[in-house]
Amino acid sequence: MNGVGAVGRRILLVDDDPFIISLYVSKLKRAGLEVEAVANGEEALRRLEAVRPDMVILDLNMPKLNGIEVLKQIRSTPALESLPVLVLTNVCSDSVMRETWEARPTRYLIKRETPPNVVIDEVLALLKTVTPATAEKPAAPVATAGRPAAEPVPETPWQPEIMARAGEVLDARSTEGFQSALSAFRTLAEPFLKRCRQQSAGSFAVLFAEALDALVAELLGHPENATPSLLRAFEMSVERLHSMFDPAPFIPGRPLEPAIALVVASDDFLRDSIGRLLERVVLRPIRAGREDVGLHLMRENTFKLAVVDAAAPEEYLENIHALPPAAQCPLILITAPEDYRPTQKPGLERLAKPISSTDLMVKALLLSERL
Amino acid sequence: MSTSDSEPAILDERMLMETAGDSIEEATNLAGMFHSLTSAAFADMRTAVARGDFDEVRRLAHRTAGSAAACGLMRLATALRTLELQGIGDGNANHLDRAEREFERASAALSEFVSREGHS
Repeated sequence: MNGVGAVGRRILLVDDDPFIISLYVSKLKRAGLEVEAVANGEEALRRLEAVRPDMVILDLNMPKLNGIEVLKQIRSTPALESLPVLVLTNVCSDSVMRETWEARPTRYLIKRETPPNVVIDEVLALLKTVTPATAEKPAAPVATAGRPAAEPVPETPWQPEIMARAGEVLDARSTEGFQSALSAFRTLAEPFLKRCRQQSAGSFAVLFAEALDALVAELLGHPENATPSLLRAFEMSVERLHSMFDPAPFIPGRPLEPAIALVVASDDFLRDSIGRLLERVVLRPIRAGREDVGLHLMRENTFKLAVVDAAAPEEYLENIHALPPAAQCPLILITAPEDYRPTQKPGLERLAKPISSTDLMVKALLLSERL
Repeated sequence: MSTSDSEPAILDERMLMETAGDSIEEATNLAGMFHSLTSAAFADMRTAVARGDFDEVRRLAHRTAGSAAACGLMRLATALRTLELQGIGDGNANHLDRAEREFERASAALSEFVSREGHS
């Protein structure tokens, strides 16, 4: 990625490691950016006003004032509230990651897992899409615990025909039959999905309706893409749709609480793409480029979801199952299309390559469900 | 597939070159800078031990582990991580001594790599 649109933008780099500072100052300048580096949190807060950076790259473990405190102060200052902050750290303990996410960083990258060129690409991408004046605020954590109170009961009664049409979609033997059943399904489900879309932004209901809309549109527009993996996503969606009425009508309409997910993939582009898609369903991705590091992170932390693209997926799955039960989390295992098979194990879904964004988002949303 | 239980390499050359943007000149610069800064960090750790400031030892170990990992010096990074998490230890389990031994090996591996690749 080149630096078009980012040249001349100012970065405040905050890290107590002179090696990291030297490494990144050199690379950021080479990318056409202006950089000022400071070695501790206190100095960072002092320099913020003078430098007026377009972005902060922030280490966590520092003397005087740590990165989390710096981030909290940035987010509590109206003029800096939407300033992009990329946390770049080697701290990846469960508690620190949670505390950091609650302070609302724009990105969280693990230093030893993210090659500098990927960090620079991330910085340039953020600078092109997010500016302090128009930055989109990350979803604020919600302090509610447990299942929220039900939103108003949908006026639309559940129609058994919806399940019948969904069954016809899954059993269709011809393209015409498939499209006809899917169109009928969409028409019958629309009144309820409309109610879902009227709920709070970032809620399960809104995200679910958007994901199902996209999934149905993809299947209708490109029936040739109706792979077993994508049809499984449709089947999961229909089951979830039904469960919103059974045993009692319930629309989960409050904003989702952000949760931490793990992405394990050696391919930089794939890892980054998956991470961005997870962010769209209010998951905060921690990215690991090496499989052994992914296992290590799963052993030591609690993730709401893990998405894994392993060289030998089934072998990797065995390694995950060998972890202590408490360390196991809902999992999406990416497989080659010829190796794809539906799974019977709760909390485990497979996803066939090439990855469909709707396939991934539906499965990620449903597997990581936070009610 | 490698696992975290296997012994990591002293120097992961691929990782070093990735950090250096596949430039041997940049890798040479990084190796020199790493050696110089890490030598100073170990001296600071010894000074901190002498004055009983073990928090400073942990902080320096954490910091240096990040640099070591960026250079592909995974065994040194692991030894420093142990020092950070478990403290200096004592006797045969002196984690500071062990980390310093790993640093010597890492320095030798970096020198060998720079010498070999610089002439190829």
